[in-house]
Amino acid sequence: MIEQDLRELEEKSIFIIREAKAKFGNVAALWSMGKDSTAMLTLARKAFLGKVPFPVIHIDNGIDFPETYAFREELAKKWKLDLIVAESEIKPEISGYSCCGANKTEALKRVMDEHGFDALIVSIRRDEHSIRAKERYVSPRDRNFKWNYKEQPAEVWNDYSSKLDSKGHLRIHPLLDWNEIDIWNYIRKNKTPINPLYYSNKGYRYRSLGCTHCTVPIKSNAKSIDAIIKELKDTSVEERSGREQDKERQYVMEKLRSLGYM
Amino acid sequence: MKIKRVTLLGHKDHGKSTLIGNLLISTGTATKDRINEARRISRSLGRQFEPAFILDSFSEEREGGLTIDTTRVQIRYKDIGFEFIDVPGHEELIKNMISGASYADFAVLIVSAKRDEGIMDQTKRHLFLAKIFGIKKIIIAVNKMDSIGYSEERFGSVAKSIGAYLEKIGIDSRDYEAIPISAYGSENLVKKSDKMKWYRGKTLLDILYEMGREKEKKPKNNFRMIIQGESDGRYFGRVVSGTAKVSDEIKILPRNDWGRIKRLYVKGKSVRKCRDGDNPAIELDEELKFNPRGMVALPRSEEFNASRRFMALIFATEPMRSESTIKFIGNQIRARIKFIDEISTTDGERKKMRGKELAPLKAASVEIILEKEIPAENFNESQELGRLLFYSGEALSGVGIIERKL
Ligand SMILES: Nc1nc2c(ncn2[C@@H]2O[C@H](COP(=O)(O)OP(=O)(O)O)[C@@H](O)[C@H]2O)c(=O)[nH]1
Repeated sequence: MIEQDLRELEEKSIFIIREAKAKFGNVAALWSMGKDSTAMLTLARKAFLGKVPFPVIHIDNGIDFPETYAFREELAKKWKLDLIVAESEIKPEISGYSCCGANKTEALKRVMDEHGFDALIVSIRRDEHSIRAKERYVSPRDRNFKWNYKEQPAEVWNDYSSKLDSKGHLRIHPLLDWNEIDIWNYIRKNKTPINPLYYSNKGYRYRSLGCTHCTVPIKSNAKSIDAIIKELKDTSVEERSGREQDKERQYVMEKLRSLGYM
Repeated sequence: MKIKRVTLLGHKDHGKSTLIGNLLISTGTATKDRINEARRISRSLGRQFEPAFILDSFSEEREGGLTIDTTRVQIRYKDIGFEFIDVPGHEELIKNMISGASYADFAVLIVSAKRDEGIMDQTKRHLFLAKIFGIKKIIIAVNKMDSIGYSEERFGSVAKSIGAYLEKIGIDSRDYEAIPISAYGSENLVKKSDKMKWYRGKTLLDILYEMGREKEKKPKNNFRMIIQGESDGRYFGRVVSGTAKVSDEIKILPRNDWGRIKRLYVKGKSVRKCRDGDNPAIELDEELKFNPRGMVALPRSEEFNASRRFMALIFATEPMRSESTIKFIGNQIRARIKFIDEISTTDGERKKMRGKELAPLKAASVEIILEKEIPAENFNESQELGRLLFYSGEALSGVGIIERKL
């Protein structure tokens, strides 16, 4: 995994976050309390000299880890976040890998409508999955959150689209260029507070965080950020592996469907 | 680690995926699992090992019959990281190609040396766009040398014809280099091939490395900051050249108002000075009475004329007519285009333009007359302030660079 130049990454992300704020009337960010969206908030605080100038949305299905809720309260207070908790219910008939998509999407739609948000900052990275390859820094979604990747407007030379059909919204992706290890280097450099679930406990830690239903820990003894970075440098395993093959495939298909591929 | 972005140009089946696959293997970037998976797939299809199957898009493409690009490919070589940007071939719209390629530092053109393959028109258009994007260096990788008996002569003739095209469209011979390779046999990619002893140059990765090491010849420019917006009385922007420090006087073009810098912040911290690449927040001794979004800040003492007439080189992605709209650092301005010469994007020939419309995938040398002045510069002095986007309605219709302010 290549460690990229943090200055370049950081400056570009700050530019994108400010562009979102300057260009769109009503911006919000998704905050899962995971490492990526928390790093994004660190960037936003730098971009706007210490404050996060937009609401942050947690889509809460009630089954996140207790550590995650505690972390949310602590940081929301410390950073004076304008936190919106969008409660989503878990429908028992939707389970497994469609859960994240279907159950959370409804709640997000509701919150977007209620507040009239027209742009949403989402902390995805291009190295997460090949599905992300066609993502743009600013990417339109329609009313049903579908992504028509073939009809995306061109994105040339830092000129981001603001084309919006009346009922859709734009996704803003300030972390698109970052690698997993860059996020950790950044967190270390900036002493960004981090959800304790990322540290090893009894020989296991979480490498990416979701809710209690489908997040699986990896074997690890990394109890500090330095140790996590070292572990990442040594590993040849990808971030989202550790899931079984067929589950992974199912995940991918779900994801594709939710992105409007099928 | 510094990352250099490399766009891969080339027609389908000329060997782009094979090249990337073998670069991933030879540099030790691909994991054992990946390589084994690629072996398994090759075998199950009853084929020889296909390095192209290393790219993980494959399983998904097969599953849904979709074409999804590959995961980003980053390869470390010595102390530089190279990110390879795959450019969609002919089946996808040129606007998707330009979205990826507009961020590239270098281009690698892959062209098959097989007699029935050779360079295609769409690939030449991509090369033309590389010029407009200010891509600094181009490598012409003449592929499939194994299939033509490693013929020096055939290599020479392919390289020469592409070189002639590049020079015709104004790319200096110092800015491109040709190399014979076999992507499939990993020859001249990372290790020198012993089958082409007549080739005295470096390997592909070594050429890229050398390009990556070369210090960027940025023209020495004064302070320029593109202003993004305002919040709490501070002005945000992106410094595209030069430096500024507290107590400097800056003016805001095209308004011509000015102020003295009272405070400066970079990455949220109060600093004395900001430089090229920073996104500072600036406090002036007096607040501006207008929103400066899309304007440019520069030293007050500098003589600088904003202008409304330019000679430009443009490339149409959609039909372009004389009545048009340009976008310059985010501002839309009405424009009239006087077409002068049409430039063929497949052979570089110029001819006088009679019509009043430029068809898609064609280029032209034009004069542009804007409704109002903009603080633009010549492209060879400032890439950031020397480029223009063209719109018809909401959709991009073309891209261009300013060759001369009038
Ligand atoms: N003989 C020969 N065949 C090659 C070479 N490189 C690629 N190919 C073959 O050309 C075909 C297309 O290659 P691929 O990498 O998929 O092309 P792409 O469409 O440009 O990505 C495949 O069957 C490859 O095995 C080479 O160096 N020599």
